Amino acid sequence: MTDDLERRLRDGLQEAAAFEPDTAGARTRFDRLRRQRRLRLWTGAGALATASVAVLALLLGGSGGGSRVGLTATGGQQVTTTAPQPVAGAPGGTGAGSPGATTTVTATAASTATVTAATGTVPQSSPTTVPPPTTVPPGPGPHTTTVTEADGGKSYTLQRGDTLVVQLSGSSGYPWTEPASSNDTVLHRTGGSTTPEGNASATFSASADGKADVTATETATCATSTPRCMIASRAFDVSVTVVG
Amino acid sequence: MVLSLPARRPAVAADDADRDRRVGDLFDRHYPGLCRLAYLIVGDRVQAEEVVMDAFMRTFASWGRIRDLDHSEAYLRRAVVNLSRTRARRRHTEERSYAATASQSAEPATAEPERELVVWEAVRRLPDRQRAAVVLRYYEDLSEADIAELLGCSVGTVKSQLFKARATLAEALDEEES
Repeated sequence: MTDDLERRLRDGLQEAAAFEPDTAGARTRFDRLRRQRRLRLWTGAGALATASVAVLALLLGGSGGGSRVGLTATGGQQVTTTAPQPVAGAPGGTGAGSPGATTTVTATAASTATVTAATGTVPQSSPTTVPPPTTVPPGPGPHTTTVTEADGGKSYTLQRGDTLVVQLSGSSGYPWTEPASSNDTVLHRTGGSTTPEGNASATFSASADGKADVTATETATCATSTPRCMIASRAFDVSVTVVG
Repeated sequence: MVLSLPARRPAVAADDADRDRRVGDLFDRHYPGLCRLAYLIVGDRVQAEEVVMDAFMRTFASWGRIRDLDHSEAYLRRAVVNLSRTRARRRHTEERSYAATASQSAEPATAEPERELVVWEAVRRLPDRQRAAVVLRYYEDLSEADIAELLGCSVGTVKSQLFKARATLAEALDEEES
């Protein structure tokens, strides 16, 4: 009886578990989650490193009175703060703390700390992180900028006539919605599509000066089925400024 | 004055690439099997896949503490079993709450093919710990000692849980047949 029960248990469990999960789709999602996690870690570490060096630079430069502190991150963003010019006869006349000296710090992550310098004091406010603005290089003729889900959260500056292409890679279980513009006058959508594989793309034309956001949402298909699963949706968002 | 933070060392980048590759290989090799294991404990495919994804993300985060591939597999299996049990407890609580408040006119849930399996249906009705022990013993073919280590209890507790589970299942299957 016991042997028969155990055999039935083994057979029954094997039969119940006889399904093939979507490993390829899950791998795509897993890789994406890992990229997002790494990006968050790098951004956090970069902001911390930049803020730490900013404080160090202020301490070095603060004793000399007025100094110019520039913080540059590899993401291309730069915030420069200028402390008040030194009062004549202030201590610390040479070196890092000398008046007008520039301290440049290069960090390895895409983040920037904004620091308000006060002579001889460490700023009271904590550093803040700002998204890296990406500007299309000026030049003759319209440009085309292509962004993917990895660029979510970034800011772009386009010139009138430029084209923005958004390409989002999803999976059948986690499809993206078609990217949309928050201001069709500024950023006019000229085309777009979604695929059964969960990918979505759209093309926008920079039509008028102003600002617009391009957004899309990646939602698990099980979140709209019955019964619903509780997987959170993921939002894609880039901010676009169009100039003449 | 120019202060330059050092760029990432190549050795670190190589470590990252190696870690990515190994975690990816691990995922492809074990994801289907772990999904099936999680499903037998949780009783829901979508939640089982969430559990396995969560386990892999935790493994990825803890990779530095895992010494070799054998340990990573054991870590994954343990994470899947523990997360599945947590999810199963929550699921049963929600189902009980829903059953208590659902109106009589509510439409019955769509029957899944698995519900037609008598044995599986009986296993699903077992208490969480008994079900986990049964799945690990009769699906994963683990020894009682291995099950005790995975579930974080004594071998005696595992034996007791399996004994009770077998008694319940035998009774349920006898009723079903009669």
